[in-house]
Amino acid sequence: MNRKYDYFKHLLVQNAVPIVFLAVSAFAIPISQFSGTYLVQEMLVRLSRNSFLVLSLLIPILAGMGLNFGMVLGAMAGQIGLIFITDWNIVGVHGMLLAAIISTPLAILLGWMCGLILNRAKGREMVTSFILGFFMNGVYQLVVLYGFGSVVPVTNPKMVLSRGFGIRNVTNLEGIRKCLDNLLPVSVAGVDIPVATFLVIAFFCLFVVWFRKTKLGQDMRAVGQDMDVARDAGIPVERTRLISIIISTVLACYGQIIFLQNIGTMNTYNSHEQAGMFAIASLLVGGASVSRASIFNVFLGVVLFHLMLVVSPMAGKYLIGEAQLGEYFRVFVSYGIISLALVLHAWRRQKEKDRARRSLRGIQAE
Amino acid sequence: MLIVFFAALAAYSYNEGKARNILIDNIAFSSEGKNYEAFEAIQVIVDGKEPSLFLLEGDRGAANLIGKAHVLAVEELDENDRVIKTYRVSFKSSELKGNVINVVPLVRGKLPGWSYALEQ
Repeated sequence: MNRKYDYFKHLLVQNAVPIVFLAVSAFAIPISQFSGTYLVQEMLVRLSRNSFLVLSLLIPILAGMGLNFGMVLGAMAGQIGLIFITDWNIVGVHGMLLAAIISTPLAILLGWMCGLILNRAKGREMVTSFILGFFMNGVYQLVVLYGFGSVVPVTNPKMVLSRGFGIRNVTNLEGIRKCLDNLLPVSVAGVDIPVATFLVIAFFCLFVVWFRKTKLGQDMRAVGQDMDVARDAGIPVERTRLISIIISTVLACYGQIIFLQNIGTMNTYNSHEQAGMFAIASLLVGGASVSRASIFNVFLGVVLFHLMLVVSPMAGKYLIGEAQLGEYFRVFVSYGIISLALVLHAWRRQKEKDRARRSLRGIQAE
Repeated sequence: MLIVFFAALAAYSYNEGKARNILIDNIAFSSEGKNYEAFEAIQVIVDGKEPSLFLLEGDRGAANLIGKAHVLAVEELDENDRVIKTYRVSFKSSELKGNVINVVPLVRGKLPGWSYALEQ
């Protein structure tokens, strides 16, 4: 009986966050008065839009680098690629592909730079990548606001500010809008399913599964478990960590392109800012932790997080007459869930240390 | 090798995805002493994509060309908007001499002057 109780308690503690989100969503959905079809459609759209970005976080977690807040660097690289293809008027899937190819070297460079810095901040990767994201945001805005149109030629006058240089606040991505989503359109019972996008996501999931079994993937796992032991085993720790960040940044770049092709419009100076925060919040809502994350956590997290974001404005409007509740949740929950996950992670690590200490002393663990 | 592959893919994507806005005219045309009247009413379908352009005599419409090779289908209509005859013409973006296409010389064997630049 005790064992069952302990198991149940352990399950609750391990999955506290998704359980809370499920409970809140279950409460809010009937109040929001959204139909089931509408919610299913919204979740499919948001899954197709956000999953790639969240999946890109798995590899740094595997390598023990925690939550990669530096993924915004990849998002910025993707946006620069999109600015170029919009200027050159390259449309459709070809435009998306070209944007990905153009931004790949930039994402690799930014990922390399981020990885080098994180290697010098071992044990503090998350906060370092968080601040690095802010710094690179400044560099990005400098380049896009002053470099484009002056140093980097921009031929499309509609994209440039009235002063003659600098990209406008909003870049219209009409040329690539839903090009991937509509590549293989399927409609089931009135619900549109972006099959092509899900195929890309499925391919990425297979890549992650395959990657974990490769030598590099195993090296990353070893580095993630214990850097010193991995180094003693002959694994090039710094190089492995660097590669994990580069891969994550490049994948975040592609994820941002997929995200923006679904939206169809790019806020040139803002779109990337929340990319990292929402992706990380989604992953944590799905039950992942700083040191452990799976593909299931990704999809569960995206569904739960976005379900709450969709229903909370209407639920707030019917409950308290204030639809702004949704926006409040969007920001509060994102930051709150990350804080909660970090606290839980620290608490669990302390618990595990205590348990290990007790077992060494020969006392039965509680 | 990988770089070469991606460079080739980029070049292919650029060529196949490049879009250009063009204007399609249905105006009378003269060439080598011969006069060709404009169509009374036509429906122009660019690369098989909807929506089609409905042009009366003297009209001008806008369309978007994507890629390098294109097919213009010109359906001549009678007073009841029934299709009398369909002309199908293929051309490449490299053949364009400007961003205006006149369907009258185009469907008559791409007579010289079927494509020209927009006069400012």
